[in-house]
Amino acid sequence: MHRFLLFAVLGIAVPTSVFGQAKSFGDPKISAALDAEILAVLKENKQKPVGPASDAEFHRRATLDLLGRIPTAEETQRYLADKNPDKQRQLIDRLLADWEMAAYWADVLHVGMNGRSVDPGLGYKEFREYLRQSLEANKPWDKLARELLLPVTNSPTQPAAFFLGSRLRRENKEDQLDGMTVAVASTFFGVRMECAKCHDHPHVDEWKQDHYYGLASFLSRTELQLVNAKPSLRERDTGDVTFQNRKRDSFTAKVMFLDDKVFPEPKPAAKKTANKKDLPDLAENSRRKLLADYALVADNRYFKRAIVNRVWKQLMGIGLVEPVDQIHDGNTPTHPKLFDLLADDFAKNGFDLKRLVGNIMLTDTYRRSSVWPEKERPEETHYAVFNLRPLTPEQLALSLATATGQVEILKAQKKKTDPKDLRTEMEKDYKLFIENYESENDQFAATTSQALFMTFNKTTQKYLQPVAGNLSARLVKTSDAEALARQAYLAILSRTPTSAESEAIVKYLQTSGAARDQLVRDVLWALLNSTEFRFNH
Amino acid sequence: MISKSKKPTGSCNPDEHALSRRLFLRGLAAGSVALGGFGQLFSAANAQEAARRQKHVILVYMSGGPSQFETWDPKVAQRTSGPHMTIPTAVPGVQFDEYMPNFARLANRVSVIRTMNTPSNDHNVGSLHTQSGYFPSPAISAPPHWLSVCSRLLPRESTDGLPTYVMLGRPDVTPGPGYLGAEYQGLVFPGNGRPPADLPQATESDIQAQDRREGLRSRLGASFNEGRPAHLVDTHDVSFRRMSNLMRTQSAFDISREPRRDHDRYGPSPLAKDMLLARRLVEQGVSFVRVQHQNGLAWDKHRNAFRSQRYITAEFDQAVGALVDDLVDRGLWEHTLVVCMGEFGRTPMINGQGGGGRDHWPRNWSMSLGGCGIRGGVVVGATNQDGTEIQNRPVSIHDLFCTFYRALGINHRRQLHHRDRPIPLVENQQGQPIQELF
Repeated sequence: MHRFLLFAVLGIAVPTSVFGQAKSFGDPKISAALDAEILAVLKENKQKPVGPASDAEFHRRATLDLLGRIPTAEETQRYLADKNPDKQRQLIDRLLADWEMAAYWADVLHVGMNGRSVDPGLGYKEFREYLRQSLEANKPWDKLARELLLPVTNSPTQPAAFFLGSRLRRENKEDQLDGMTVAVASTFFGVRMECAKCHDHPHVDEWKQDHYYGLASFLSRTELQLVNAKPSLRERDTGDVTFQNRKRDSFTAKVMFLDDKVFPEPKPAAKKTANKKDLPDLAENSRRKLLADYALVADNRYFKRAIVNRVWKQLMGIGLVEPVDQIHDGNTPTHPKLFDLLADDFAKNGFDLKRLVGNIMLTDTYRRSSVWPEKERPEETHYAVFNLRPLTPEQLALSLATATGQVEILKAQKKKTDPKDLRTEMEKDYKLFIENYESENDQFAATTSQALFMTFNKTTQKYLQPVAGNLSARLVKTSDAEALARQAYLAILSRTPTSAESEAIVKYLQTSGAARDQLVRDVLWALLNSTEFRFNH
Repeated sequence: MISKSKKPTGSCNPDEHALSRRLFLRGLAAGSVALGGFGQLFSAANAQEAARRQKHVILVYMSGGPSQFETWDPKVAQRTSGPHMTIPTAVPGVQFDEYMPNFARLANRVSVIRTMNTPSNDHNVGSLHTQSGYFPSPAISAPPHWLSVCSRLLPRESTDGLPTYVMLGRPDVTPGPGYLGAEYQGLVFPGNGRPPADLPQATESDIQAQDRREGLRSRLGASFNEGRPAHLVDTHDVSFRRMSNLMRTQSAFDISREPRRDHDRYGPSPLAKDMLLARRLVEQGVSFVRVQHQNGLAWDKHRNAFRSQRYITAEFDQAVGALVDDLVDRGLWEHTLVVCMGEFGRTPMINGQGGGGRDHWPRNWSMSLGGCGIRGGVVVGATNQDGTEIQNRPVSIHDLFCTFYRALGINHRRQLHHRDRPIPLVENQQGQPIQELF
């Protein structure tokens, strides 16, 4: 009801669709509170934010963030023609409900948890499909996290075993345990503790060796089994973690969570299972279950903040805490109140990921222009102006295919199968883009190799060749040069061209001594390789 | 190309900012000269003249960790000796492995360090440490490769379009440009003497066509770039200008233009092709070349080591030997630092049954360097009789890096800046140049 009240107070006409067919994900009240926190910090710094992005820019930004691709020309035209004052919010709701959102965010979550790897290994495809289905059903984050820790063999949650299982495929025991511990610490609790492995953390007072090995103790009894060549997790009912400090004194690790909570060893099971093959998914005195029961809950500060910080970064370009998984008392968030507010709302509302995303995207902060008209651009962490973000390798691959019409061709070819196969269909292209665009350290890198790849590589150039049904073929047939410029801009840059831009293209197409096919391809190349295409702005 | 530490994307630091501006302008200058006329752009004589004055580095990286026993520090009739024999070298009293006749012959020109001492026996850690001078840690911003540092401190003063820094052969885990940013990333070549991936065999009309559409691209992009962060949009635009320039210089990458007899002298291996390419590039003005010796961890011989050790040692010896000869003949030796090393050495004891090998060993390992004012014929440090320990003169990675920078005329105590923090070239300003080598 509060929603209705707010609109009534602001005197905004509420279109029926908000309460009608479409489900609404974000809560404007929360978004407004987030904006207030951002403005407070801006005021402290004597800064003023820029105005909102244009319609076309917002549409492209939201589509890229939720579907992982630029909008199609048709989507753009429809959005630009829509006169509904509430269309931004409707767009966000529509995109959040789209099947493509689940497919794209499955990749986002996968990369966040497991990093990018050209060959992620056994069970990866099933894992991604499991994430996709979970997002499609808007599975609460606490439930998803629980399944990742406690997958059930021969059930729909078995593919979740990839998360810990991929770490158990490493060569030696120590790396396996380290891999699981680091992944769990980073993904669920937003902390990085590698440094606390060999000695108490040198820079972070909070992290002692006891914490690192304490967390490891919940995981150390986990075993990997392959069932029909698919990873499945088992658990032994014995085995402790031991470690040495710098002075080479040996310790047996306590079963201890990050907040110092120590768990006494549960009573051992009556009889011990000898054969590794007969191990159950979870031991009777399961330590992994202890961790899930204790930590994956609403009042756990680590758990609710970790994912909120990642989602914020995903949408705003920078985390409230950086590095994104170094959340600890010594590393103050840029906006502490905002962080708590967003995390509390998330936990209170059933760990609803789509609500979280909606809350952020409905802010004025998210909707700002990325143009800073003055000289000194303010700090990214102030959000006075929208942060430019390079497209990820995945976004580039899918956006190139969308702009050039390759997606439609694939969809037409695969008519009989589920459109969800599209991602699988494009796997090879994704790999190429990851190889070329994966950047060290999250830093933006534009290299000569990338320019060569986008200009001369067979795969990328194939998209520019006229093939029945694609953009290039349509444009070659368009004799009116102005119409051609308009179509190209709508398809590639998700907006209409200015008259100067249109003129430049008309003039270019009159170049003598070059075939028209070639000139049309040049226009496509120039727009696809523009800074405007390369960034989410 | 790994690093676990995350840095906020695209954050704007004034230092880098200014730099990318400067490079941007240089890129523009290069572009306009290039458009001036293809024919006169590249004068071989001029390029070679400039190349002569400039400093170069050729780093041959022996990934996997070469055995000091089967290269520069062999032991005779010890419990740690392998099946290989040793041969005398041009320096009396100094012996090398029998499969290194060229290094033996050139021992007066090239020097050897036998007492490298580093902390890690892990490939990734060792590779990052020995090529950045910094021990990798998630707590610090990724340190750059030392050749990225050199690219920043010794930029080429030339508009010929050739890159400053290239990497021949795709490396496994290797430092990138780190906090210096993408401007200082080496241009990666696929290896085996091949030119950069996707670089076409362009004719003059192809080049004109590319200039034409590049003109359209930058015209249409100008208004978007206004008001957007320069360190992002400029970097993107510069990469396309560099590509246009690269298309004009592709003859520089074509080793088929080298005479048959040179191919024969370097040998048939993929390394030989890359060493020949390295020479060709340096001759034409490229400053820094990192050569990956075989893909993966070719020198990492744990098992059945002695079935294949002699082949890898011999192909390495032949290709590097021919390169040193050519650099000397062509007057480039005085300005070109040649470094051959891996991430660590190998255990004194031969482990495993029958077809055993040597495991990782960072405590005393060997490497070789020469040229660019490094005194020839020196053997730095000594290990004990069976090679299990350093007898005298341990050399740290910091000492080595101080030596590299000294040879290149860079003050090794110099600091760079990142996010307003000074970062020394060599970790914590440790180490001293190895005096014996100057």
